[in-house]
Amino acid sequence: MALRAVREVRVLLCKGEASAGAKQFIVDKYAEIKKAHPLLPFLVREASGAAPTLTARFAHGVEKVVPLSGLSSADVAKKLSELGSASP
Amino acid sequence: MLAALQARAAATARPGRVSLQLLHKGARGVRSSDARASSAVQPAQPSQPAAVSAVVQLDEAGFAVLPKELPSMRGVDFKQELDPRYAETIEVIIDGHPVQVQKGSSLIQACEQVGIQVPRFCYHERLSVAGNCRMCLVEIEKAPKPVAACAMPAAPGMKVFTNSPIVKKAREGVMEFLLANHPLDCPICDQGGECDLQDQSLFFGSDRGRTTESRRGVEDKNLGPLVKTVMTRCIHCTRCVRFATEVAGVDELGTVGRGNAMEIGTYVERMLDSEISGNIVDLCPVGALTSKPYAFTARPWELRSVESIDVLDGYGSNIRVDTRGGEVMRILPRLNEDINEEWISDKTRFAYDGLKRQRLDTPLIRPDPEMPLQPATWKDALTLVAQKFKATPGARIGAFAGPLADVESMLALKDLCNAFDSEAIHCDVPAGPLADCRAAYTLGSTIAGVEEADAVLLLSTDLKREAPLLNARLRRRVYHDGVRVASVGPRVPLTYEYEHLGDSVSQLLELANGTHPFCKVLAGAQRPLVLVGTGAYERTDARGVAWAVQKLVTSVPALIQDGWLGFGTVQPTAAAVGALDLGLTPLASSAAAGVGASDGAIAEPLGLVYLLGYDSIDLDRLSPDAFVVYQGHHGDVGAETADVVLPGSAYTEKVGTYANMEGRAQRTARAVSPPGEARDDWKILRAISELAGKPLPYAGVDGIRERLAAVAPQLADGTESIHAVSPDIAKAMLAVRASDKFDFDTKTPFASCIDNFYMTDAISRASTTMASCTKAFAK
Ligand code: SF4
Ligand code: FES
Repeated sequence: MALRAVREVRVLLCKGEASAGAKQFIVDKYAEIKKAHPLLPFLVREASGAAPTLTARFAHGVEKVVPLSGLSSADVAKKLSELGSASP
Repeated sequence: MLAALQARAAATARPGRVSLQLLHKGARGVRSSDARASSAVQPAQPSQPAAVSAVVQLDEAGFAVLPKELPSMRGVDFKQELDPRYAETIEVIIDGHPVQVQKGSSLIQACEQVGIQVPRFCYHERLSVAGNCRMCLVEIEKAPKPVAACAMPAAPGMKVFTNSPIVKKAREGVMEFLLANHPLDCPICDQGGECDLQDQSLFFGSDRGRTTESRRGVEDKNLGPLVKTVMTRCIHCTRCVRFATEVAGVDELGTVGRGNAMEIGTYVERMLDSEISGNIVDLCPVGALTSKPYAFTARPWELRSVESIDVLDGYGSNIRVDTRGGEVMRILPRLNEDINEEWISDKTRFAYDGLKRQRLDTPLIRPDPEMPLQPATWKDALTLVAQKFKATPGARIGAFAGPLADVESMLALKDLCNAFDSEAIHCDVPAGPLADCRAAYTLGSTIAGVEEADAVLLLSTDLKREAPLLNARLRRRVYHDGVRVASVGPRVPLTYEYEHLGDSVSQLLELANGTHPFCKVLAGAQRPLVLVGTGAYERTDARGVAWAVQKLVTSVPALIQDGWLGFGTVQPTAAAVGALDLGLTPLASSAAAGVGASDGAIAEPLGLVYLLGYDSIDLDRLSPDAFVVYQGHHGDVGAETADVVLPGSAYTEKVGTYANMEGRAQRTARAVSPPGEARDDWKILRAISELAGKPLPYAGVDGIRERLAAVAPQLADGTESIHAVSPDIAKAMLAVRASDKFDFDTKTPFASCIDNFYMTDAISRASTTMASCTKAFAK
């Protein structure tokens, strides 16, 4: 997963079923991502009632937000690599 | 005519009568002035019995004749629902009404459960029962004498009378004896207006004395710079003694002598060395113990109270700020069972005088590096800062948020710096395990949950100084349930016994590798708890220590399980959790403060340094041509070094969100207005962004709250709840370690992150009260 242009990743999860896939993704893939990008802040935050989203921040504070509601672990991985290859 | 007179008399009698009922409620912790305040909004009780005659009637003995029915009986709904948790109830008959009360309660509690407040002085629900004031006497059918309701367990079928003539006579007798030796100095007593004795003497006191003996004289005791004593006023309820021994864990305070010669004191003169000693001021029902700094400054009826949150440590105590004429007069605790119960630490209570000294109240600009700061207009100051933002390349902009920063201003700071392509936005927290995972920097067990732990390991923390009230909870757990506590760190008194395993990294490594004997204790526990002080990460080998901590935490399965997160960091500042939640990067190590390079990044000398209430900047490591902006409320170290000073607001002057060490977001309230031209912090940053040509996409309070909800929803909802981390996520994320090879410094011992409890931030450093505490108590 190339996340070279990304300055910070924020994953917001809710406590319900809607973020089950995203949670699975974190459990399975977090170690791998951290290994590839040890200095990239990859914030995982949970809050009941929050809309599960994936936010990537690029240079100059530009943010891209992808909703994760109901997505499977593989879908989340795809969304993240899409963001990684996107240029702001 | 007569009827009209009587009706008027009844009307004037009402407010006072209603307030008795409320007043006893007040005696439970919240001061009676609350009760006083609420009695104003309380509608007068509708069903008044026969009107009280305007003239007070006296009986043969010379006592005032009071109505038979005491106010405490009126307006009670005996059919109120019982808490389902207390399923086991017994029936007692209180004042002729059969009621269900929780099994095992004392009569005073039973009465309380059905809404009758029995007057009391010595009984306090958080302390052991002493039964020595006798104010709570009630009558029990077939009992030969009145009994103390606080010390008498309720038994099934017991017939209790709380307002019979015998009870009234007994309480009047008790009151008369109490007053026989109590000085008549209410006009010069600080407790006046919120004194339990004063209030209750209105109902049970006689209007004349019968004693001819002279009153008892007692020497005042010196309990240190916080608690003022006037010991002739003491009624020997021993609440202060019980608090000191049972909650605070200091055994110095006690009673000497007996009978008329009894005194409260320390025997050998000694100051009360406890971080929570100020609570005895609240507990003392009379004016024997009052606040020294508050002495003779205000009367309770002049004060305006605002409910707020304390930010001087990471505990998030709930407080009440009392103000008069735009000045903070005192700070009192507010009940919150999940956090501070009804106590607060001495710093929280007494550091408020720091809010009035050393304040920055106007923008300042240093026209030339050699010259002193000069007052300037907001426009000039902000324009200058905006220009610097535009002129400095992003990689050379660095921002630092201090220990008192609120979440809104840190969010604005981060957004502003990000917009100018800077990534060096730091908070005043040493880098521990990854800030990616919320479980790595909060108190996962929650504060109240600490009392569920059955084996505790402390690492590099002096819990008594870093979180005195958390320590008091742990102490309760140790004393009541004999929980084993071990510590790797400074050998300090914690007010209970614990095993000191050592103070070097080698012990931590043994624990992490599972070779230490204490690992067995942790592994055998249902709910083990590991509490790490941030002092563990203020070391040169912080990364290795973090690695070892993560290894330890992930190696004990019971530490992270469903419904229990037994790994906690004791954050010493109110800003810490909020800052890490927002993604401000922790300082790589305290030595790096001033360089602005987070771990691994190339250190480029900073051209623009923005300090948001940050005072621990390392000047030697700052490049001499750096332009320093200080935004804050106190003229501390940071402001001295600055080229531009922007005056912000302190926590009593703004509405700001703060997350405490368990991750609970709470909001402060604006009790007074900021001095001079000082402004709300996040608005200052918003104004800079506007002038610098990259306006932040929010303008009003609602806007920034919305943005906060998008960035960190766990802080935004204002429901004051904790959003716990799921165990599987915590487990997966904490298992990740950057590498397995570290150099450890086995020579440097683990130390606490605090060396002086009384001075930890700009406000407490400016406080004279805290200065005298430092002189009296700090080593
Ligand atoms: S000093 Fe106050 S709290 Fe202590 S025993 Fe006397 S009256 Fe009670
Ligand atoms: S309250 Fe019962 S004896 Fe003091």
